[in-house]
Amino acid sequence: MIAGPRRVPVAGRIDPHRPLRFSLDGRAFTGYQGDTLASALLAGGARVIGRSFKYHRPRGFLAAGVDEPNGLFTLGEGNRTEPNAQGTMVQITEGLSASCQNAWPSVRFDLGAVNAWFAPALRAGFYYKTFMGPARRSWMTYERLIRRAAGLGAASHEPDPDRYETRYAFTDVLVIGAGPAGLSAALAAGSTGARVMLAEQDGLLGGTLLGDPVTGDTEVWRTRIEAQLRSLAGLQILQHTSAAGIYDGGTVVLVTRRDHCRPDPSAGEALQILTTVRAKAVVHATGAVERPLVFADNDRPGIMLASAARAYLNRYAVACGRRAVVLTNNDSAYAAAFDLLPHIDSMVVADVRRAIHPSLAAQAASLGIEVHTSAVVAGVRGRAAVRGVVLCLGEGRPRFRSIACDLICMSGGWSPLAHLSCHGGIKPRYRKDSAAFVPGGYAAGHFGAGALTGAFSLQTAVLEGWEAGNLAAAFGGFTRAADGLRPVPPAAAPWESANHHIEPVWQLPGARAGKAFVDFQNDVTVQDLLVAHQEGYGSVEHLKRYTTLGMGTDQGKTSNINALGIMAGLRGIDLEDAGTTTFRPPFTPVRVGALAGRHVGRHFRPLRRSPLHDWHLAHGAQMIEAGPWLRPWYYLWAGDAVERAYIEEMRLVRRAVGLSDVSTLGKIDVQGPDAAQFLDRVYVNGFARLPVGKTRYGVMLSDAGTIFDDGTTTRLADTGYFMTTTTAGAEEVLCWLEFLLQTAWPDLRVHVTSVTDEWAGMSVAGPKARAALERAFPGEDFSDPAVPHMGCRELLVERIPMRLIRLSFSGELAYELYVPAGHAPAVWEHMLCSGEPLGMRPYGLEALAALRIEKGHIAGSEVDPRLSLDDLGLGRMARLEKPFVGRELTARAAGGPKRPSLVGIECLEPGKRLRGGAILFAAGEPLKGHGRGYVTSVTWSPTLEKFIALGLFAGGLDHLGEEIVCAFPLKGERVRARITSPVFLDPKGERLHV
Amino acid sequence: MFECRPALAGLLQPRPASPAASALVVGEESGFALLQVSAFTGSEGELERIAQHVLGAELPQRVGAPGGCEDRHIFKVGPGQFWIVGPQDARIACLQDAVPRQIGSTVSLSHGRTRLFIDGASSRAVLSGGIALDLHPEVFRPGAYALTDLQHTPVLLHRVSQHRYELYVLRTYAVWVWEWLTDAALPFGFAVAAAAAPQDPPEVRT
Repeated sequence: MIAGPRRVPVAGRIDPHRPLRFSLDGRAFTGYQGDTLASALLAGGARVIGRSFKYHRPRGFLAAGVDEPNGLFTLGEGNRTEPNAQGTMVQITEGLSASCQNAWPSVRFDLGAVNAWFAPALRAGFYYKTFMGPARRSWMTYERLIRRAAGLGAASHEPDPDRYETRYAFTDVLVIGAGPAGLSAALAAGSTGARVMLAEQDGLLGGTLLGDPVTGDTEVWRTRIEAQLRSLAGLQILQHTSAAGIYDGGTVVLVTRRDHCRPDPSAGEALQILTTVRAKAVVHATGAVERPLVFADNDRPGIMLASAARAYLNRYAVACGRRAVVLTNNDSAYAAAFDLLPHIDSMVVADVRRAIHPSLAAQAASLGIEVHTSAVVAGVRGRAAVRGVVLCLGEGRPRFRSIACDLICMSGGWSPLAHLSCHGGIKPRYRKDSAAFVPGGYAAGHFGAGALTGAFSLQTAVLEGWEAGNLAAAFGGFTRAADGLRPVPPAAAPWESANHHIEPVWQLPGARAGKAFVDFQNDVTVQDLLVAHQEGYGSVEHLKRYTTLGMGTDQGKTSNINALGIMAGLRGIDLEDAGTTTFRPPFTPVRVGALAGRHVGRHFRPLRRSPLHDWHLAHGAQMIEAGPWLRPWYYLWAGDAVERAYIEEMRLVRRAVGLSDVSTLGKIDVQGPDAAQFLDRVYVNGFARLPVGKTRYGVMLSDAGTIFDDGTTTRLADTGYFMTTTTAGAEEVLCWLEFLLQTAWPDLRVHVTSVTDEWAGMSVAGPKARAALERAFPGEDFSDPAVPHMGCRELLVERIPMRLIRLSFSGELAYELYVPAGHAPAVWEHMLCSGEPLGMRPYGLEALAALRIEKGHIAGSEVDPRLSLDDLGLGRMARLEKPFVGRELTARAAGGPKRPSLVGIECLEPGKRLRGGAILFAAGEPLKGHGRGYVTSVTWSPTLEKFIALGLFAGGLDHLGEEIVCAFPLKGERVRARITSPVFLDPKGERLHV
Repeated sequence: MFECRPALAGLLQPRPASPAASALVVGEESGFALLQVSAFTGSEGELERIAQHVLGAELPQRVGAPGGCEDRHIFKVGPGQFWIVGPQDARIACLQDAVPRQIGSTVSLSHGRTRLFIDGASSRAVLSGGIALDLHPEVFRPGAYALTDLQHTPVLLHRVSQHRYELYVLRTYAVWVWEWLTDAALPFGFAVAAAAAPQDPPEVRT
C-alpha cells in the first residue's frame, strides 16, 4: 500500500512507484505521479488548507477540479511566484513548493479570524456604508487600507523568467472537453476524415469517467475509445488545455499548461501556450460541475462535493474521511456512497427528497447503507474539521439525529458549464427537469452535447456527442460517419436517469444559527443575499456587484445557481425569469504571460534598423529609439555625454562638413501619367510645373484643413517622382495617398510605392559639403549650375545608381544622397574616408534636430494635426486657385489672430534653460492655467550661445521682441525669455549657397 | 567597389545544429532581383501580355497561385500587381523597358526586401507561432504564397516545398523578424546557414 494516512488500497490513476516530494508552507509531503496538490494533501491528512476571504474561516477542499473555490495556493518562490493556483488543478512535481494564502501566521492559527467577531458589521456593501466620512476625501485613505486587507495571494514584482508562447491553429472541428460526450463527438468527426482538435483541461481523457473505479466497465469503454481516437491520423489531442474564450467566426482561444513538464525556458520550452484556433465547427462538450447544498456552516473542512470525494477515492486512492454522511437531493451522490463504503467505517445517506427510486433504495439496503429521506441538516459540529452533523428527519413532527462523522459528501445537483456557449452573447436558459441553466442556443457551426445540455447520463452523453460530432463535420463539408462506428457505453443501472431524479433545493430549511455560504470563495452568505434584496438590488447583475457573488478565480461555478434560486425566491419569481450574470472570457484564469506570449523583452515591439545600423554600432554611435527606429543619437568621437557631443557635432556641420544617416525618412515612388496632377492635389503648393531634375518642399493637409505632413518631392522624369516624408509620417502618408487614389480619384493613373527600405539616405551638410562630394566622386560635376539649390542629379557610380538632391535641413550647404540600401554601408564608409581630410565625421539625431531649430525649420514637434498653415507661418505657400486636399477648410482652420502660431524664443537668463513643453505667459501675468502657448522644440545654440526654442504663442510674431515667461511647473521653473523670429540663423539663406 | 551587404550581414553567425535538433535550418538569402510590375486599372491584360512575353512564363491569375519558371518566381501581390523575383538579368531589364508608362509602372525593390528561409520538418510548427495562416499541406500547398503579417510587420510567405518556407521581409525589419524566427525555432533546435559572401553589385535600375 502506498504511503499516506488517508490512502486506501484502490487501483487509482496515480503511479505508486513514482513518489514525489513537495512542500506546503515549508512542511514536507510526499505524493505520487498523477496526484494533484489537493489529492496529495488530502492523502497526507490535511484538513484546513486555507482561510476564507472575508471572515478568515478555516476551509478545506470542496471540489476536485476546475470548480474548486477554497483551495487556492501560492506556488513557487521569488520570481516564479504564482498566486491563486487551484490545488485541484496543480499536478505535483518533484520539489514543488506551495504555500497557503490569506492567513497569518498560519492557516491553523490565523489572526485574521478576528474578522468573524465583527461579522454582523461585515455584510454585503458594508464598506460602502461605513467608510463615508468624516471628511469628503476620507475614502481615499480608507481605500488604501481596504485594498491592503483584501485580495488573495500576492504576485512577484520580479520579471517572470518563464517562457510563454502564442500560436495559431486551424481545424475543421474543435471539440472542447474530453468527457464521454467529447470523446464520442471527436470519434464521430474524426471518422468523417475531418481535421479534428480535441481539447481537454485535464491531463487525462474521460472527464467525469475519471472519477469512476478504474476496474469498472466505464474504464474499459474509456480506454477503448481513447485508443480509437489516437489511431485517427487527422485528430490532434491537446491535454492540459482549457478553452479560455470563444469569439466570432469559430475563433477559440486555448491555453495549454505545461507546469507538470517543468519546462526549461533557456531551451525554449514554454510554461504555457496560448493557441488561437480557427475552427470551421465547434462541439461544446464541457460537461457539468456538482453544486453544493446551502445550509448553516456548510463550509467546514471535511464537507465536500460528493463527486469530489468519489474522485479522490477512485482516481487518487484517497478516502477523505472514515465516517461519512452523504447529503443529497439527487441520485448521483449515491455513487459516492457506494464506492466509499468498502473503505470507511460508517456511511449514512441523508436525502432531501421524500422518496427515492426503489431499485436505488434496494441497492443501498443490500450494501447495508442507512438511508434517510426527507432529511435536512439542523447543524454541523466542528470548526477546523467537521466532527458531526445533526439531521432533521421527517416532515410534520421532525426528529433530530446526531451523527458523528468526519466527512460530509453533499450534492445539490449539477450545473452545466455553459460559460463558453455564452461568450458570443447568447444567454443560457433554465431547464426545469434538470434544475439547471443550459446553453440558450449556439452560434452557427457550434453544437452542444452531454451534461452541458442538462442530460447527465453516460448513455445520453455518448449519443449526443456522436450526433454533435457528425453535425460539426457536416458543417465543414464532410460526410456523416457510419452509425456502425458509434461507440456503445456500458448499460445504465435501473435507477439511473438523465436528470438524476433531482429535487431542486436552493437552501436547506432548518438551522437558523451559523453562516450558510452560497459563494465560498467570496464569503457570500444567504444573509448577504437577503441584505442585497432588502436594499433593492433585485437584478442579478446588481446582486453580483453588491455582494461579489460569482467573482474571483472560480467565477461562481459552484455558487451561482444557488444564489439565483434564493434570489428568485426572495423576489417571488421563477428562476428562469431571474436569469444569470454575463459569462465572459476567460473561463479559467489565464496568466498574463500567456497573453503576452513572446511579446516581451526585445520582442516587445517592432524595432527598425537603418541599413547603416551595424556601422553606427561599430563606430561609437549611442543609439536612441525614435518611433520604431533605432537611430544614432550622438557619436563618442564628439563626447561621452549627449550634452557635449551634440554641440561638438553641430560645430562640425557649421564649420566644416558632417555626414548624417537620414535613411529613416519616408520615401515614396510616385509614377504615372497623372502623377503631376495627383501631387498638385495632395500638396497645398503647386507641383504640376515642377521641372524634371528639380525638388520642391511641400506641405500636405488633412481633409480637416490642418497640417498632415511635410517633405520634399523630386521630379525624376515626366511621369516619375521621388517623394520624401517625415520619418514619423511615412506609413500614414502612404496609406493616405493610397486611400485617395482608390476612393477619391480612381480615375488617376498613378501608382505609389513605399521605397523607404529600398533607398538609404545620408545627408552631407556643411560649408565643405560640395568639396566632400567632389572628393568622393571625382569626375562628377557638383557645381552650382550642375546641382543648384533644390536640384537633383541621378548618378551612376561604379554601376550603382544614386540620387543626389541638394536641399538643407540644417541651414548649411547640404545634399541628401540616396543609394540602394545594400550598398549604403560601403558608400557611407567611402564618403567618410574620402572626406576625412576635410574633417568630415558623422553626426547624430540630437545635432540634426538642434541644427534645424537654429534654422527655424519645422519638424515632428511642430507638424501637429491641430495646427493650420497660418499657425506655422506657411499660409503663403498655399495655391488657393487650385484644388487640394483640405483647401476648403483652411480658412476655418486658420482661426483668428489670437491663435497660437510659430515663434522663436530666446532665453534671457544666463544659467537657466528652456524646456520642451514649457507653458508661455506674458511677462507680469499670473502663471495660471494653460497660458498663451507652449514650447515645441528647444536646444542650446552654440552659434548664439544661449538656449533657443521654437514654440506656439497666441498672436505669434505680433509680439516680436516682447518679453515672456516660460514656466515649467513640473520642476517649479520659470525663465524670462523673448519672442523672436523662428529663424535664428542666416535669415537670408546665404549659407545655402556658399 | 561598393559591395552589396545582406541585411543580416552583421548578425548572421553560422550555428551548428544542437544534438537534439531536427534538421531545421534558418538563414538569409540575398542577391536576388525583385521587380514590382503594376498595371493601371483597365490595362491589366495588356501588361500581363507584355510581362508573359518578356519573361516567357505565365503570370498567376490570383493572389496566392504559383507562378514563375526555372529560377524565377512570379507572385501576384494585388490587382494587376506582380513581384518578379529571380536573377537580375537581361529579362528584368527588358521588362522595365517594355512596360509603357501609359499602362503601368515598374519599381525595383531588390534592396528593400530580403529573403529569410526556414527549412526542416518542424518549419510549419515554428511559423504557426507567428503567422495566422493555415499551413496544412493540403491547404497551403508547396508553391503557395501569401501576403501576411509576422510580428506586426508585412511579409510575403512562400512555401517552396513541403518543409521549406521563404519569407520576403522589409529590409529594415529583417533583424526584428530574424530575432523572432530564431526565438520561435529555439524549442525545436536549429542550425543557421552561413551568410552569403558580399556580392558584386547587381545592375540595379530604378
